[in-house]
Amino acid sequence: MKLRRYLLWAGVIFIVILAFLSVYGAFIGADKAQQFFNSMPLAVYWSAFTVLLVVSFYVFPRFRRQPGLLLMHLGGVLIIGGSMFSSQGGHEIQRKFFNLDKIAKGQMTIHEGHVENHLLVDPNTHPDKSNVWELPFGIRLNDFRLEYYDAGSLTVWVDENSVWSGIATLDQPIKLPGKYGTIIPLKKFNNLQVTSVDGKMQIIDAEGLGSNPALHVLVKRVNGSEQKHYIYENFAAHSREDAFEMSYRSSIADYISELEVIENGEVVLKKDIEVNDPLHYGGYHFYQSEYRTYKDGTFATVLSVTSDSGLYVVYTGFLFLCLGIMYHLWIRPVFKNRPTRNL
Amino acid sequence: MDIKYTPQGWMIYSVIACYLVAFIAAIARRLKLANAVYILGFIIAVAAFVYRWIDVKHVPLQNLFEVFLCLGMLIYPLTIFSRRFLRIASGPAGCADMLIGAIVLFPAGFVFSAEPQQLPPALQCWLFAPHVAVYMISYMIMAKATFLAMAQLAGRKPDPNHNLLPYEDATYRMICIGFPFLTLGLILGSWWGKLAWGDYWGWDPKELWSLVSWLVYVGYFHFRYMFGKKYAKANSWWAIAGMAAIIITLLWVNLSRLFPGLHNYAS
Ligand code: HEM
Repeated sequence: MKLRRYLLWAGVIFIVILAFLSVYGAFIGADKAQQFFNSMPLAVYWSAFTVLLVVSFYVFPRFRRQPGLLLMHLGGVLIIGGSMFSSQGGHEIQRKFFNLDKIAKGQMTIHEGHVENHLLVDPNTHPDKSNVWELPFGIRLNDFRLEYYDAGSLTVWVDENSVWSGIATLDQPIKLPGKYGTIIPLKKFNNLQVTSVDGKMQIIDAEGLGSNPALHVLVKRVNGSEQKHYIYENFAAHSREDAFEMSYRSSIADYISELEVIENGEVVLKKDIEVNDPLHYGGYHFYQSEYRTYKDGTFATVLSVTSDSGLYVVYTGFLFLCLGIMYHLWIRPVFKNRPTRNL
Repeated sequence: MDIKYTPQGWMIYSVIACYLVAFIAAIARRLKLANAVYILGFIIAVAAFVYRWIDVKHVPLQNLFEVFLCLGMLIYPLTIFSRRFLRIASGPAGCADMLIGAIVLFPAGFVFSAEPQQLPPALQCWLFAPHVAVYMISYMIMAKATFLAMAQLAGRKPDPNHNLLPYEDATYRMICIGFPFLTLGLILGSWWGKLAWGDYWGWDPKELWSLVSWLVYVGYFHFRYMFGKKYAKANSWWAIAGMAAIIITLLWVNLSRLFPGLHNYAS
């Protein structure tokens, strides 16, 4: 009986400690918090928490009688255990004791038309900080493309106190705050270029050659005067007379990399990945992360690569935790409150 | 202060007005009037939410304006559900709920900008709507639990004629309903983080604050299990601490702008 009381107190203390550590983590920022929660003292804390939960399965008979309670606490064990397994420390232990040859996290850059099998290891997650890792298969980038929304976003600093910021839909007048009149977006350029056609300068929207997104707008003042301006994404614009500053940002709707996995010289898998839809192969997930543009108009995609070791243990923990909590707090009381029938 | 002279703005102001009138009528024991105006406010709130949905062409749960608008719409169904199925009402005709409705709509009406925004690629995921929606549901339930806990601390008792649960039990029941939603929100967010960024947990301040709110309620359950109603007031303080953590979580991005340099999340 006393043991149960001690264990319960220990449980509450562990929970409160974790809450305080999380508040601390929120103040130091994500990178430092990640290092902190993966440090040695915290590994001891996580292990002790797991042991406490496992011991309580034996000590509290209620865990055996109430499936919801067992499931949710088991979920906790799986989440903590699986996370430790999938962490950098977990990968090191697996490398030492089970000969597993994987890294926890890295990043790879692939130029269009090239095959790559090297990745840059996240310096936070590699023991000896050596930074290149070779995958046992290659990934080819067939094509990288960006998809834009029809309208970009515009910000206008009207005066010191008022800023207008929103979507610049073509031909839809934007009424500025105060008495500054309206702005009408006229034309959107993904890549504005000035070329000479028959000796005449012309402004065109060029395909693929470098990148110069811009917006052509008409500024209508209240006094009836009108001015046209080009606002470039890469350079903020000053409207000369009105002295207000405008900035334009083309809105990217999606980043898409067309990938092929190549093993022993053969294509074994093809997938177009985009944000929220990664590639899974050889024990790793490959995520669309960033991209680079080159002067010759070509692209490289930057993929973030994470190992899937321990992931499905964590996901099973998520499922158990959810189902257990829902059963224990929602479904069980419904049955409990039912009047029993006299047989 | 961002006063909105738009149809959307006027709808929100009408809902706030309805909720406040309903609150005053409930306190004055004009219960029929209170209920009628409360329903009217709810109908306008739904209309404002649908209007927004059509206007921005995606589920309007992207920014704080839309989130608070959604919260203001959820309160009425919650009042009815708790009265009918849980025997819980806070104050005459559940008047605390009307006040909660007006409070959560205030930031939508007067603080946050309603300028529509496009969904960035990371938000274009089927998990986006359920993740935010279950959080909103749990936040409203926990807000109601907080008012019940405050009523318990103030030594109030529910109207004996209405067969209602005492406030301490009502707080516990409310948290039992809200906690699975809070858990689901955390887990759906984690799953989505894995799909979008490659990590199911990124240790970023917003995630950590949401973990803190969740842990406070876990602490509440265990504390209440250990002591029952022996320290009823302490139980209520746990519930209030949970809500404080939720408020910080919800407003963290904005709060952090007030303290630049503390960390890099706001940028
Ligand atoms: C992962 C962290 C944990 C979570 C999410 C969690 C969650 C919960 C929840 C929701 C309840 C239900 C309370 C109720 O019915 O009112 C509960 C009860 C309980 N928990 Fe935990 N808990 C955690 C950690 C622990 C630890 C570390 C211990 C070990 C001492 C523990 C022991 C218990 C016991 C003995 C009960 C009583 C169950 C009952 O009979 O109602 N829990 N827990």
